[in-house]
Amino acid sequence: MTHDPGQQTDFDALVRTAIREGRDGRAEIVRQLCALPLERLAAVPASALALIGPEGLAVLAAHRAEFAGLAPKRGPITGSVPAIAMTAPVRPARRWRVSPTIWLCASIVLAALSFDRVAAMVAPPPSASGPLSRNASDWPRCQRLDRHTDGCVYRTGGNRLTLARAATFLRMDAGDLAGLNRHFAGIGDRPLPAGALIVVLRDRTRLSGRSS
Amino acid sequence: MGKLSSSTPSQVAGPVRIEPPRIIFVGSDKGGVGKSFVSALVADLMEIGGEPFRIAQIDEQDRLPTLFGDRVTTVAPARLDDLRRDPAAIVTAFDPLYAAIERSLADSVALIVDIGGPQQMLVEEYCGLVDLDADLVEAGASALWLVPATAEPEAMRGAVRTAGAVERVLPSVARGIVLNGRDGPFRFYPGSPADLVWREGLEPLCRNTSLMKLPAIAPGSWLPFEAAGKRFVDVVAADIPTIQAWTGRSRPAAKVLRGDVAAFLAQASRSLNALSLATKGNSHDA
Repeated sequence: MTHDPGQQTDFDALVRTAIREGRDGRAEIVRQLCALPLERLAAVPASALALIGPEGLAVLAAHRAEFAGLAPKRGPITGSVPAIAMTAPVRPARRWRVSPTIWLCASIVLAALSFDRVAAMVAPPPSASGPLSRNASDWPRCQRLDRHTDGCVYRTGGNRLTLARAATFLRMDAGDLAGLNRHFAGIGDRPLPAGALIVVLRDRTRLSGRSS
Repeated sequence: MGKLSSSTPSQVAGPVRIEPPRIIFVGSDKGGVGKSFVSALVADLMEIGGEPFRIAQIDEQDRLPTLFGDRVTTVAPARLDDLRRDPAAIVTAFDPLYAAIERSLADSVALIVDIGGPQQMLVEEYCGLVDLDADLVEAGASALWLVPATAEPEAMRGAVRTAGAVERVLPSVARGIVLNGRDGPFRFYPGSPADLVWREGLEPLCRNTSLMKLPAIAPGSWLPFEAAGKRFVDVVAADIPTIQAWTGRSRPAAKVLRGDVAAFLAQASRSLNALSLATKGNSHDA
């Protein structure tokens, strides 16, 4: 592009000023956030936090004792950072207050891991009966995997169930189950991913309509 | 269709053309990759440099007319019904484009042609039908076709297809790929669909054509201005109280927003100037 050098220079000066003031503005926002009490900081909208960018967030985290361990400590960007934020002591009792949270998380993880088993024990039996369309996506969902389950599609909740294990729950031949679920071909003894769909059908004569 | 005529035909005599591109097409057949954004950016960078320009928009969007007012000519897209009745309707529909190009060559005012995604293939067909390439060569007009793409498989595929079509119908027009970093960097998980399109299609093309890397504006920093119908130059030239009035943000936040746009504009300007210089060396051999 052919540029008018004078006009270009004037605009370049505007750009430089805007960039410099933008940096100042960002530093000012970080300083203000550093000085906010935690409860007010927690109420700061995400759009305001987004303004300071990843570097600003790292500086903010480094200046807040509450976030210790979330980000590496850095030197202060200005002298106006409140000392209390840097030196707030962590009481031993505080550690124990975290314990219920840890227990809760552990319980949730254990519950998720045993979802398949629990679901199999507590859910009502499937209600599908009569002829089924050849398109398994139209079939009802299996509520559990047991010897009565038939004519439905089971969705795995966790990621620990293997096809062989599912066959054991169903009291079905593992080969038959694998034949019904060719979309898992090659998975072998590896567990199925969460959300995988297992087609369960014991009697193929129930299928209606033409095969495609 | 008349032949295009240039007011300065002597400028194409040498092996290296020293004039910047007078016609800048911005088009790719994938929508939403930032074509109008690139057109507006190119227009603003021209204005910053004191270079007059006009825009021909082959689309029915309001954005460019809102930003640039009467410098925009909207070419109504060819309608499918008309094309079915009369195959020659495409030539009639795009006559205003040809007229805009003629006018640009006559008065040496640069023309930015912004092509909407759905119109891209029709424009290619039109260029082939009227042999626009021969007319541009005869008029000694330098032209550049910018093909924007974002880091997304369909966008990259569209850019590759468009660049190929442009090479076929307008062989004398220099091509520039604009890698729009808006949706993330052009680095992909190895073996993913995006990675395949990038490695097998767009990356080789980038090596063989001019390349403009458009950085992403910091998240959230452009949207308030876009919503307020502002141009890049408006934002950078505005004082902080004005920015506050446009965006409703605090003074420090207004500084950040304006600074982010200025940083983007500075980087985009460097990238586009590099592309323009490269084009000068590439566009003469037709």
